[in-house]
Amino acid sequence: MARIFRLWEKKRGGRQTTSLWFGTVGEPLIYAAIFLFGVFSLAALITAQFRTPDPTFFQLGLGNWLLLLLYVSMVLLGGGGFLFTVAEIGASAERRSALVARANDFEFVQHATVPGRTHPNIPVGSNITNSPGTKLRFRLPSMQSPAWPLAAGAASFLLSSAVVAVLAVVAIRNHAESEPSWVLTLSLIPLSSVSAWSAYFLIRQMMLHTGIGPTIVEVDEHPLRPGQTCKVSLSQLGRLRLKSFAFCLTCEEEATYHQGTDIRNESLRVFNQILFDEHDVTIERAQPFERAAEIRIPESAMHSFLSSHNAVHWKLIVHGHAESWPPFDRSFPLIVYPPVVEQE
Amino acid sequence: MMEPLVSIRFSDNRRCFRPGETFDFDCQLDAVEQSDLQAVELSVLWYTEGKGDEDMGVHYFERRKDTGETDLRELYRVSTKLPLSPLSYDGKIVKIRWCARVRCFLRKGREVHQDLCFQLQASEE
Repeated sequence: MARIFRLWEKKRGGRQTTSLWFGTVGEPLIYAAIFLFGVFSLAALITAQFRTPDPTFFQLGLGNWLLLLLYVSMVLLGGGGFLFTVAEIGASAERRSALVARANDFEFVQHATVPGRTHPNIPVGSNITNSPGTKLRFRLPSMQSPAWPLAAGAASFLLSSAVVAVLAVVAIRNHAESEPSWVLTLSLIPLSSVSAWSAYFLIRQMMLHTGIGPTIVEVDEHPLRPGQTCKVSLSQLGRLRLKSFAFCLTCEEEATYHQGTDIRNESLRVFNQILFDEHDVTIERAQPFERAAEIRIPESAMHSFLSSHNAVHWKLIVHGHAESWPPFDRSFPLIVYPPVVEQE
Repeated sequence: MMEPLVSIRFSDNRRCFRPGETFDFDCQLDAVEQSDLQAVELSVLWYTEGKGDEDMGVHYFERRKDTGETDLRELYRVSTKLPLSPLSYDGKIVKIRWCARVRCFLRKGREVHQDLCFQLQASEE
C-alpha cells in the first residue's frame, strides 16, 4: 500500500492505493453524494419554478431542460449505484454469482437469453450453421467484419485531416499577417504525421477489403468433438498472385486482464495444424483457388470456452501474402464440444 | 481466537468426476461454538486461473442460516448432478478449476472458507 494517498497518479500492476475497506465504503458514499446533490438541485429547480413561474422554463434548448435532465440523471445513477453497491457489501462472490444464475432461471429472462443451454460456457454458434454451403453443409462466417476497421480508419482520417487543415489555415494567415506563431506551426508537424498515418491505414484497409476477393470456407460437420474428423473446403476468389497462401486449424487461449486502470488482452496459440502451405500461387478471375482438406480435432483437445475474461477459441485461419499487397489473415470460427460421456 | 476447522470430503475419496455424474460431498465444522456461527454457504463452482481476470461460475449454491433448530456444525451432505461443461483445463494462460467450497460466516463479521478441488473430466485418467 502506498504511504501517501496520491489522487492523480496512474495505477500500474495489481497493487492497491488504499485499503479495501476504503474502497468498499467510499464507492457507496460517492453514489450517495451524487444522489443527494441531484435530489437537492432538482427540488430547488422545481420549487423555484412553482414560487416564481418562468414562462421561458419550458423552452427547448440549453438552460432549464438541460439542468432538469442532468439532475434526473444524477438521481437515477446515484440512487441505482448506491443500492447496487450496498447490496454487494457482505455478500460472498458465490452468493452473488448464484443470485445471477437464479435470476437467469426465471421464465421471462430465459426467453430473453439462449434457451436450452446444455453446455454452459460454450458458445452456441448458431450463426455458424445458419448459412448452407455449396460444396459442404455449412459455410463459416468470417470472424472479422471489414466494416469496423474501415469505419475507424475513415473516421480517424477525416478527424485528423480536418484538424490539420484548420490549424494550417490559421498558421498560414498568421505568417501572412507577419505575426507567426511558431508553436502552432511546429505543432503541425506531428499532427500531419498522424494524419498521414491515418491515410495510410485507411488506404491499406481499403486495399485489403476491395482488392483481395472473398474467402469462402465450408465444413461438413458442426459442432465438432475431440477425436472427430471433418471435411473442409476453401475457395479464394479474386485475381491475385500470391507469394504464399496457408490454411491452418488453430486453438487459441485468450485472456483479458486489468493492469492498473488499463484493460489488456492477450492470446496464445496452443494448437496449430497446417492444412496446406503453398507458394507462388496465381488466381485467375474466372477460376477461384480451391482446396479440400480434412481436419481432426485431437482426442485430448480442450473444448471451446467463453467467460467474461477468458476464452478458448478454435478457428480455421487463412493467411496470404499477395504481391504488392500487405499480408492478410482471415479467421473462421469453429465450436468444439466436450467428448460425449456415456453414463453408467 | 481459534479459527474454525472446516472439513470437506468427497464420496469414495475420489478427486476425478465425469460430466453429468452425481457429485456428493460431506462437510463438517469443528472448533467453533454453535452460537458463533451465523450462516454456512456450500457451493460447487468453477473458477479460472492464469493471466486473465478471474471468472467464476457457481453450479450449486446453498446457504444454511442459524435458525436455532439445526446445528450448522454437524455433518451435512450436498448432492448435485455435475454439468456437461466447462471441463477442468490446465492451459498456458487459461486454467479452469472446479472445487467444493464451504464458507462460514461468524459473529462480528468474520468469515472463513475452505476449498477442495476436483477434476471434471470426460475420461478418467
